[in-house]
Amino acid sequence: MEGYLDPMWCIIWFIVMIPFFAFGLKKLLFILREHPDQKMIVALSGAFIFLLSSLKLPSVTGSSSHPTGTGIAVVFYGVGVCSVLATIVLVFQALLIAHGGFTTLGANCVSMGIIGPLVGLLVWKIMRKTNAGVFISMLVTAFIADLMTYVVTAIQMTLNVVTTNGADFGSAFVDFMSVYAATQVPLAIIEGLVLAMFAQYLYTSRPDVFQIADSNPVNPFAKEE
Amino acid sequence: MSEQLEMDELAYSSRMLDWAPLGKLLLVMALLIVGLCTDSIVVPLITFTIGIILMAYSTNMRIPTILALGIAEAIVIMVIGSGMISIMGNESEPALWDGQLLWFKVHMTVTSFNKAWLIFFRAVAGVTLMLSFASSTPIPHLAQSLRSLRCPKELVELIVLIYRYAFLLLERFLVMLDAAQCRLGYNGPMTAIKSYGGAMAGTFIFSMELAEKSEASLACRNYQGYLPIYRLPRSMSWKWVVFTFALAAVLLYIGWETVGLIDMEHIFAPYFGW
Repeated sequence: MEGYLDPMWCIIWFIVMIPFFAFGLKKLLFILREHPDQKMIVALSGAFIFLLSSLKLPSVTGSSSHPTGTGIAVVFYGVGVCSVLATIVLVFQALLIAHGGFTTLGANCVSMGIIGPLVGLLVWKIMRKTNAGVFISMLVTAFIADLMTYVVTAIQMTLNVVTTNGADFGSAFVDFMSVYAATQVPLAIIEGLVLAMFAQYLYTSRPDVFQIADSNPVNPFAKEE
Repeated sequence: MSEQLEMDELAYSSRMLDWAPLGKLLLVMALLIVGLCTDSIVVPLITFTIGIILMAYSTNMRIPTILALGIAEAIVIMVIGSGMISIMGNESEPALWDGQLLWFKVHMTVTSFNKAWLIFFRAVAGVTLMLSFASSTPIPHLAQSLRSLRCPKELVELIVLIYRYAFLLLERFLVMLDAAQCRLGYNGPMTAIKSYGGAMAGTFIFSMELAEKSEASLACRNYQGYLPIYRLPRSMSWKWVVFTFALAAVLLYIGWETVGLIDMEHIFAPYFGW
């Protein structure tokens, strides 16, 4: 939310975000300039992430929440491009529904567009190396990516409250995590199941998509070949 | 997702549609940053008032119910967030409230209580300012402004394409969800999850087919990476810059002069016996 982070943390999270965003943008521009025919596919993927992140999922507590959609994006496009697409989606969310915000864009991008997806991609690679099926691989990837997003958000909130209030890091982190755990663990499981169903349907109808997905490097700064 | 549609319609019918998008963005960003840079509650209260006035003018006070519910939901989140911050005080400082609440260890200090209120007011002011901008600026206008700022043209093009295709995909997705409902697709949690998964996969496959068709159809029309806007938004004049910086300077000065003027702990002390 706009106004939650101190100016110092707004700047720090923007600084953390910039290298990932810059490399992702460079990679994206390379893809678009070398293969202009890919433009529409990338744009529609961005639109698809936007659609997913705007989708309200039913939760076991009776409330609703939004999937991050980055579990899928990172598997198909890698961390760099995912960070750019996530940033565009975050800007749209800030502009269309005033969710997130501009001053917290850096922090949101680091949690939702970089670290969550990076860990998710790592999990995807490990799962696929161990010959796990698409369903179970996507289930675990989406679950971990979603959960990591909220772990990073809890760390960001904790660091903010430690520097502004002088609170103890350990107990503040446990407090924030316990709030997120109560709401996000069930939602991460549901998101994992929905995306796993999605991946299974997609694997049945378009298996070629997963050949591209399996060739994506984990390193966000890897050069485009 | 219907909030996005409502907001898009609202932006195109706004009374502030003809104002320079970059000017509005500069003003909103300046007010947000000024609000963060001062420790006075007076500044977020002023920026909140400015946001409300702009939003009322922009929408002619016709805020759709779905947006009002969105704002109410945001306020609930802010209350929970600020409440969390207020109970995480420095343990070396004397506590206003020390104990246990559910599984939380509570140590509320004067500093943490006042800080929580400051953050709450900043967040409320931020949401109203953002909504005033969002309800008056369609994304294509913003993209046009980004182009004038010499952003990479591929990135601006991508923003415009994502924005346009998001609504196309949304339409298809909603049809699939309705179709699933007609087949009792939400009868039980697992059936609901399967229905959502099926609709998402269907939309994704549709999006890939749409991408192939769009690529061919745009190429036939000599598409060079630019979808023209025939009613161009105004460009930002120097008046916007002068006004914004003057307002920011005044607010900063007010902020420095009014630190501690509103002490929330003093206001609440009689009710809680502090």
